[in-house]
Amino acid sequence: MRIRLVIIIVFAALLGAGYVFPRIALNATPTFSPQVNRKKQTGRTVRRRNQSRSQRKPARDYSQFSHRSAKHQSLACDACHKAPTANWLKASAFPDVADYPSHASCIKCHRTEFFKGARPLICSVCHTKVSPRDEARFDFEKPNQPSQFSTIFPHDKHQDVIASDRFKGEPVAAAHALRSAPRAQDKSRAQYYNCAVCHQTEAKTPNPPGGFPDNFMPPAGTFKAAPVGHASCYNCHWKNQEPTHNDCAGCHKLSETDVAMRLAPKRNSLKFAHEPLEAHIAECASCHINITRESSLLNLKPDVPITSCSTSSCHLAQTQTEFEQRKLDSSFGCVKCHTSDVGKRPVPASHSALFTE
Amino acid sequence: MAPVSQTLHVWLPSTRRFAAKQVIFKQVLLVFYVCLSLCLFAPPTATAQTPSSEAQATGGVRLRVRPTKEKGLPRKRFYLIKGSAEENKALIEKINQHPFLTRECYYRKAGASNEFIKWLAEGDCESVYCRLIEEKFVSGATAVPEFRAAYERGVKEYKKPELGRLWLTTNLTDEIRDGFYRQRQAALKALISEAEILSKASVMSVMTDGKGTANFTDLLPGTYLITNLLPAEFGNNSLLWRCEVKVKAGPFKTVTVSNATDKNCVVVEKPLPACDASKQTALKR
Repeated sequence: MRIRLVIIIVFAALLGAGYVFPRIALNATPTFSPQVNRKKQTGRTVRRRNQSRSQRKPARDYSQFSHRSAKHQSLACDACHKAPTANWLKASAFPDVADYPSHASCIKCHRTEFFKGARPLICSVCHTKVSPRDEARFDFEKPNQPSQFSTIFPHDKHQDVIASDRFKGEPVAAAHALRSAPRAQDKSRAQYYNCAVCHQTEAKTPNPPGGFPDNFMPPAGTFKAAPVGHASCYNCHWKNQEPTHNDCAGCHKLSETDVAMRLAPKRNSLKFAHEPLEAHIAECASCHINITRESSLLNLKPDVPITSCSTSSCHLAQTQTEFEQRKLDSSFGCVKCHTSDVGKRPVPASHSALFTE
Repeated sequence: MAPVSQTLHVWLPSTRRFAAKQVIFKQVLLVFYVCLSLCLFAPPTATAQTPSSEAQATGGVRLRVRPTKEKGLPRKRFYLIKGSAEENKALIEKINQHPFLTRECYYRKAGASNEFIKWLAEGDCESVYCRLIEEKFVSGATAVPEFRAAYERGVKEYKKPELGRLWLTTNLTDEIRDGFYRQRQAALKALISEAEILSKASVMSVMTDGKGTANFTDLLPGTYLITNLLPAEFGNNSLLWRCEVKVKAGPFKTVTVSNATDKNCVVVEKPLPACDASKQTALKR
């Protein structure tokens, strides 16, 4: 009998806990539990019971446009975005989506928001000033905004089609053998496509918030750029070659979370500079040895393993010297290639394997 | 449905009813204790991440493709398949039996002009995307007919002459633009799929650089087959390689793929087949 009593008490305690805790949780977040809240608010509850369901939804922020809303997702892209936009001849060198959708695209569903108050919030999505007398809009695409889309891009396929034996008959340079970028000044030589079609050297060094580690300022020519906008795509994919300009989903995949703007490239060896070519004239794939194997931007490994640099006569001595110093003094930081945030980390296995052989 | 007590009342004599009730009660109690102890003492697998197992040691292969002593084979894809040549015998059979169509034969069949075929061959291009289409190939005495026609359509359509040239490929027919590349891709896709089924592992591919070098990295120790799956055109010959390589954890193993006899590499070298002129069709515009 005693055991039975104990069990009944335990069960009762569990039931009680189950009953009490969800209520605590629900009370803690009243905005997400309108039904529970309603029971508490006696007088108002009765009046609100008859209100329509849409009115009970949390208020939307109409100053922010989201492609993720169910309604927006249900629409075809060209229900709002026209390609090319009417202004392309003025705004772009090629037929492009160069402007925001017209008012007609929005007003069909958002008439109420358009006429809400003296300064409707919805106007601020595109317009710099909310005023009937000012039509000025933000640049398209809106500057400093994270993207709501990720990019689908089969990197290997693009490498395949641009690949050619373009070095036929060229003299071979002594150090790294091959030049990667077509020399614009030499017009007599045929220009073959390669990585430089999309990845030009960044003329200006990006300046991330807070700067680079150790206040190190990479010189101009350190980084390579990645294509932005449709300029590198439409010249082949405008029509016939799929995905074509009217198949937005062929390249743009709606992301569950915002895709942050790339403020500066992430680098382990921040002190490496792609330019000037006199220093590093190797072909891209000779150092970026994993780049040709990946089929998507998602898995892309642009890293340059240490074996690509340290086995050359140029860098072997320096890297080995630093490695030996590090073995003697664990507080020593490698500075030839790295800033202190990387140079003081434990020596990775790839580096140890190279010099302990 | 009748409750348990009523069922017992019907089916069991009164002296055994109490004992039966106790057995059921004990069983319920046991289940409850088991559940409770599971909740309290089981490892929290659902809430905490299990620490990752130590990374397995890997190795790599540096591939040097040298059809001649002087020059490597640039810009060609090579594939790494799990297993030895013996284990991939069925696949090798398929590769050897696969029909081979040269670039020239493909484009002759498609009715392409001699100028176009020459333009592709100059850059060893599989499609029109591999080199810039310069002004001299669009107009004048050295113009390629396909490019001239596409350019004229582009100028009318895009309103800007420069755009007509830069976007020239958008006005070429599918076959001329990249038909050869696409038909090779279809054949490769089928062979890769076959290889993945047979080896029960995904096939890795890399492309050789300008010097004919490529690297397979992060490989688990084991035996692999490296092949170009479809013959590559080199001069007047076609070359199909397959090399067996044993990968150990540690530094890269260099594998030189050449035409020389090697116990681990087999090369099938054949003269390029002549194109059947009777199969030429009119160029689709």
